Amino acid sequence: MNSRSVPKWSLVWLVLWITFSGIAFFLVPSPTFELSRALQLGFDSFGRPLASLVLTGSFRSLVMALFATLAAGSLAWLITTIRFGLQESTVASARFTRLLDDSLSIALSFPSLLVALVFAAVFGAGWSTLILALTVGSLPSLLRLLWSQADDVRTEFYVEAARATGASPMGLFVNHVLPGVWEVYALKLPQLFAHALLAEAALSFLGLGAPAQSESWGTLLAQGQNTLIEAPSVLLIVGLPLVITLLALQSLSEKK
Amino acid sequence: MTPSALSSLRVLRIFLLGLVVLSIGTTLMVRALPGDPVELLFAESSVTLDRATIEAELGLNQSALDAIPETWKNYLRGDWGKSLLSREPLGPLLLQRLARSALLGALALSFALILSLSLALSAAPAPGRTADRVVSLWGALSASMPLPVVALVLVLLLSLQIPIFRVSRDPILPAFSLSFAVGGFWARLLRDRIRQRLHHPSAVSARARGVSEPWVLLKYSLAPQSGALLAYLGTQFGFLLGGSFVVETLFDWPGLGQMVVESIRARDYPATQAAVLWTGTLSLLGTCLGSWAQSRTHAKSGDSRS
Repeated sequence: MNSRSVPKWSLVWLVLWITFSGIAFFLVPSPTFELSRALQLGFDSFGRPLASLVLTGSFRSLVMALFATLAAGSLAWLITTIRFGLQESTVASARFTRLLDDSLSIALSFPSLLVALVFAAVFGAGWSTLILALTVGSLPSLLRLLWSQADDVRTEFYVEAARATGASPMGLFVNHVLPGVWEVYALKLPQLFAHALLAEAALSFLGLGAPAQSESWGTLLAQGQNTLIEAPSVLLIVGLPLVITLLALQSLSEKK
Repeated sequence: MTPSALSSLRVLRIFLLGLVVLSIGTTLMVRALPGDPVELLFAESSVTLDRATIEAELGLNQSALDAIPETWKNYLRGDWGKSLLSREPLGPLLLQRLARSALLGALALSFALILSLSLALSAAPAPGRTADRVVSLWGALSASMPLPVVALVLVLLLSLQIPIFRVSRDPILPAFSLSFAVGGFWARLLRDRIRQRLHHPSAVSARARGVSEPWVLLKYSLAPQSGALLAYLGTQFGFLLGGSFVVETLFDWPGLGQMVVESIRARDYPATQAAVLWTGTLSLLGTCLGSWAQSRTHAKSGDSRS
């Protein structure tokens, strides 16, 4: 069924980077300290080895983005199921579905970064704020995709036929809508993950994401800005892996 | 693009509902703060006012149900409150910043449009050639280069290595960064859209009548798509606005985006509320106009979905 060829380099890169950053994050004292010295990648402005910092920082960002993607991914199914139930229901009026659709249109008309910034304004910078902001930020675009796909499937003849033969709304959803939407959903997830990483980088870069004591990809980019004149290599060492990771994730979402 | 064409009435309803959500959201922001907002301000910002003044200016001395209409009465009178820190009235400040953001946005929009249009027009008829590859590469990069990275690389290249542009208070580099981030998508979309129409019967018959190839490209491939593309631009407005938060802060460009970020950092809540309300309204307006334009072109051509 899956005939799409996934570019190998992107999988190799993602697996290697996640493994090494995980090792650097969990092993204390980190073996990357020596690695950093051996590779001559230098130190940041506080004298910490840059290679190890990038690995541990990126691991935090990856975990945050993964959390947010999974949370948004499951929330989206929950809401889509409710919407489908409302559409199929003979009791609830079409007004409820319309209310849901209007709410989605409203949510889609604000940039997700603005929503995230408002969260940061209320709850202050921190991991929980970051996860909340990233989740809420990635939910609308996923919902739009799922709903339009689900609506397409819902009006197919085989679904009409199943409905006519007395299938329950839950049965219709599990047997027809879910398999019909799943492929698009699975294809969208890596992109959603990439968007969460991008949003994390932007928020933490602005100083409104990751808390001050711990580094993430975004705060390290901010360091790259501070030392841009004296040590442009910091930007390169921090930014390049991030760009490659994002390219790899996007390539997993590419339709071939 | 959007799953279904929206009717004009629905777009209007969404705009008004969105405004209501936005105004309630910004008014409730201070009330949602964990703990006592005034204590938080004393602890985390450099505010020098006394408790009663702060409570009055944040509307905390009355209930939320009284505060929301009260705030709106003031807004409609043109009174946007005062900054808690600088004590300046916010109304004139917001206007100034809006003008600067608009300048930046207009520059970025024109850079992105000129670049992506010219690239797409040269790439569309020649798959696999250089222009085509550049469009693909740019599309991939704009999806995978975080805006801070784009901006810093540009600063490094065009301001530090080859000193062409000033970094601070010069709109060219920030506009260029923004346009790099959005233009890649546009170039790819334009190229694919134009390419679809190149072999449309109307284009083929025009060619047979002896119409020159550049004219076929412009009149029979680009022009029929322009309605849908304009509508798409409207939906990109929020994206551009989101980018302006990062770019304005990074380049110290005193626009609305920078105001949002800096007021949040300084916990200057009246400024945050007003700036979020303004940027939110702008983005709502852009998106709604975009979907309205989209519904118009749908109604006219009927087949612009494909």
